[in-house]
Amino acid sequence: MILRSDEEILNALRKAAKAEKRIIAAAGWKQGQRERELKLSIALQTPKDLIAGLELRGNAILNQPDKNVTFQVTLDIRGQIFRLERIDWRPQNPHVNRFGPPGLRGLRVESAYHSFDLNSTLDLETIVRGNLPIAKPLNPEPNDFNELLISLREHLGIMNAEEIMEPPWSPTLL
Amino acid sequence: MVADSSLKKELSISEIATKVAKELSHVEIFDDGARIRTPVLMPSGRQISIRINAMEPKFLVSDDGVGYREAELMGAESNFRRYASIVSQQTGVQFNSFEFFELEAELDNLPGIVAIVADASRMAVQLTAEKLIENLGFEETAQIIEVLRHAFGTNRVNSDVEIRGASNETWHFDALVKADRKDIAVLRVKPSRNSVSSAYVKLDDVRRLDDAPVGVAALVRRPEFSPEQIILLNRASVIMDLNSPLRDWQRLAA
Repeated sequence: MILRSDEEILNALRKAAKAEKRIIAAAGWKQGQRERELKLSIALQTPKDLIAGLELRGNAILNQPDKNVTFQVTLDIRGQIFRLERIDWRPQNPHVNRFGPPGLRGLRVESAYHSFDLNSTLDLETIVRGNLPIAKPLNPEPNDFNELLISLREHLGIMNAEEIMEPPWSPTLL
Repeated sequence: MVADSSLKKELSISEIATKVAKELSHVEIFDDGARIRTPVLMPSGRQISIRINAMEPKFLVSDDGVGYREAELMGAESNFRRYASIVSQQTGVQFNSFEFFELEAELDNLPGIVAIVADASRMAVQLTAEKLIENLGFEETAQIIEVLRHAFGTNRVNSDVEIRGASNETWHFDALVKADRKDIAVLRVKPSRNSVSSAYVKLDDVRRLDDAPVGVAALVRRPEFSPEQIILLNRASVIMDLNSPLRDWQRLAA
């Protein structure tokens, strides 16, 4: 199907966000372009909906264990990668909602869940420009990496998220 | 949280303002320096923190790569580097592929330098985010190019062009038609506030050139535009419906 309008793209993103996902090929964490940067890329499958182009992407910092971890689900639509949902765990800098309903607009959040449901109230350009600009606190707040994986299952719908390896943190390395 | 409603009754406005100011920034001290969280926000809403390291007698002030990391999360590192270099030239803040920084900040000017570095980082991410938006709507862009090529001939239509406006800023347009009388610069506009305001800035800047092309706002989903949006765009451009018949497009060259 050739997606033409923003609405059609948003519908494809909505469908992908709701779909139950499974990891089909779990690669390990690799060093990114920056020193100390760890990156992860995992292919996702949607057994019930057969949606192509879904990935889980992770970011962590080598010498910062148990903080500054981000996971986001992305969808490739004709070569363009869209961010579907994101979880930031104990980020260095908090997030402030520029948009959102009363109670959420202006809210400052530390560990955050950027859900597609919340962000789909915005137009596609605003979603892309702000990289899912509305977040709510990640609840419950994970106490360790294993609990973060439980959040991935509950919020991002990745049913076998516990298969993801912990980043190879080295607190003493600079 | 700054103050809950029960506190609101007990605190004076001066106390509330002081509390807000304290909450807006935050300092973290580590072995070889400190990090100050500023109230400056990235397009995503992330607060920008700036690192300071003492390098006697001056200071190193850096965004610690927070802008790069934002771009990385958007999948736009290459564009970020490109725009960061432009911002670096425009602001004088240095950039080394990952970080914005000032090497020799004076103690007396540190607050200002911290703000300048944070703002440079924000500007580069903002430009990167705008570039991502330009790449949306591939179908409409393809449609515009197809219509223009039918109307004016393939050789006269260049797609994805950069035009330098009167402000000296360079803007991306979807197409530039080399017509006999005057060039025609075409920009796709959607019925959203961001798209309209971004288009207005570009079209207005380009129409102020001495030898300005005819600026055209090609409206995607014309019925969804508000009268106010149409008024605004009409001030800076000729308005066309993306689905206008060929003869209407050809009139632009008349």
